[in-house]
Amino acid sequence: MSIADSPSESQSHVSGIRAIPEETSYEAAMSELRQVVDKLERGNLSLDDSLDLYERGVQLSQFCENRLVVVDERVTLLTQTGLQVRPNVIESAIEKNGDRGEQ
Amino acid sequence: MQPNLRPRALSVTQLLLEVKRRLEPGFQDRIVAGEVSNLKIHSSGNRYFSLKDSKSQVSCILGAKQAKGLDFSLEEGIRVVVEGSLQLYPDRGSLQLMVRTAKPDGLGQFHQMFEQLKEKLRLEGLFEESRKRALPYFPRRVLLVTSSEGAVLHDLITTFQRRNPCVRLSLCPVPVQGEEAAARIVEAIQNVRHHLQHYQCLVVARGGGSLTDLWTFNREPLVRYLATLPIPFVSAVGHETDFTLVDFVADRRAATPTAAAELLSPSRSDLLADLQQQRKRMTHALERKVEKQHSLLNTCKLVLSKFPQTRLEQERSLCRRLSQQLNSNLLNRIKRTAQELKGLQTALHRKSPMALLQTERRSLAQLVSRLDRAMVARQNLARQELIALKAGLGAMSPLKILDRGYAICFDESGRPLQLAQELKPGQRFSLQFRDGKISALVEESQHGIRRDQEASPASPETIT
Repeated sequence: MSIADSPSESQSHVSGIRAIPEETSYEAAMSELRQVVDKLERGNLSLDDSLDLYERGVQLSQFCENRLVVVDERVTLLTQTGLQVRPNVIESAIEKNGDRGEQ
Repeated sequence: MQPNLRPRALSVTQLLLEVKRRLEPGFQDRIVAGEVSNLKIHSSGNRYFSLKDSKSQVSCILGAKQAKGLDFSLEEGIRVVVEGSLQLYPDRGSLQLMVRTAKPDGLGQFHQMFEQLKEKLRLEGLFEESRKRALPYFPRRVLLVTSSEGAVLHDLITTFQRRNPCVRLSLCPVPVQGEEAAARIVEAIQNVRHHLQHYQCLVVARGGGSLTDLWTFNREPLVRYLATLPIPFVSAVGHETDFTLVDFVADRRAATPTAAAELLSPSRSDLLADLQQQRKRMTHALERKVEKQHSLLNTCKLVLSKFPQTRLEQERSLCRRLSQQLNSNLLNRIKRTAQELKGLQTALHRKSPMALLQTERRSLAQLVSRLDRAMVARQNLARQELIALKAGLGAMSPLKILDRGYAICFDESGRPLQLAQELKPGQRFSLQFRDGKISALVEESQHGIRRDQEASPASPETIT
């Protein structure tokens, strides 16, 4: 895992909050977010720690939200020649299925 | 009967060679069906068996190499369809079918093959639960290995897009039935193997079909290859109840392609809702924290307010306020009283008998001066009276008598004596003359006779 340091990925603007690597799984990020929220809700942290934790939580939730942004719905074609973007494969599939009456 | 025909006699070898020569060409690559019996596996790996039916049998040999190329292994009693060439062995005088390839005969045989291979692979541990990897919860990219035609791809894509269009899909198109399919699938995946690292999961999918249709996915090479995939894969081959060996070696089996897509695409709306809920909880927790700090701060302020200085200041200001109130009250009362007084004074003044007083004062003054004058006059009168009396008295003074030549007689204690009987002879007495005093002793006393009994009664005789 490499640390992503492109500005669009890095969420940290305060020292001590490390950036979330791009390869991080959604599950891992959500799991950490839930932990952060649990800790905050328990409420026995100092105000400073609470603020740091909150900031981490915001960072995590931003990461997760970014993953939920629909970027491109097209299906790519992967063959020996490499990865190609083709017009939506669904449409061609529908065409071919058309006479079978399947939807 | 006379064997009068004496054709030239062949040797046995010649006979058999002749047969061989005529026989073998016609029986190359013939397909024969029968049952396997008397199967013997040589140490070399060659299989020797008899292929028989109800009436006949023929010896067969299946070379080790050819045996390896089979989808199944020969077993005693199974029905097979073999392809091979007849061989005559003159030295033994026997016929043998050199089997090039064989297939199980009939559907039952498929099942047999299936069970055989399944058991074999199971024993190797390829189906172990421990081998199976967990599927990613929310893969970024999924590779679909399926036919580019057909409803399967369509179902996969629509399900993914319905549930979570954030999962990016790629298609690696492959044939999914036919003799070559298994090999082609292996080839296709192998060609893009170095791309696999960019995908979190792979789906091998094929629609429903007969056992034969699905047979591709029971082929040992394909099954073995899929077991070596570097990323988890889901198999969705056939319908609900169809199980192929690929299903067993997969990290997860889905009953349908739609189910496979659902496994790998968590509902985007659910995820969004969950995320929002976490955000809310987080924000609320922080708000509560800050509120708590606020109230702590207020409590501290409260405690602090009980400190003497603060208290003192509070009391001081209270005191100031109260004293101001008091002052203003007092002032008001004084004002009121003063006003009252002024009123009364005015009233009084209005009613005061000043003029009368003045008059009275004057009268009084007059009277006083009159009194004074009267007093003085009376004093003068009295003084004059006194003088007159004094003169008169003076005239009567016994001392005046002395001037006229009389003497007064005093006893020892100074009491004047009027009578001779008061003195006894020998008693001391004094005589006051006009020019002094003498002390004397009584020689003799004669009393009862008055010298002046012949004198006038009018002369004052009282001497006191």
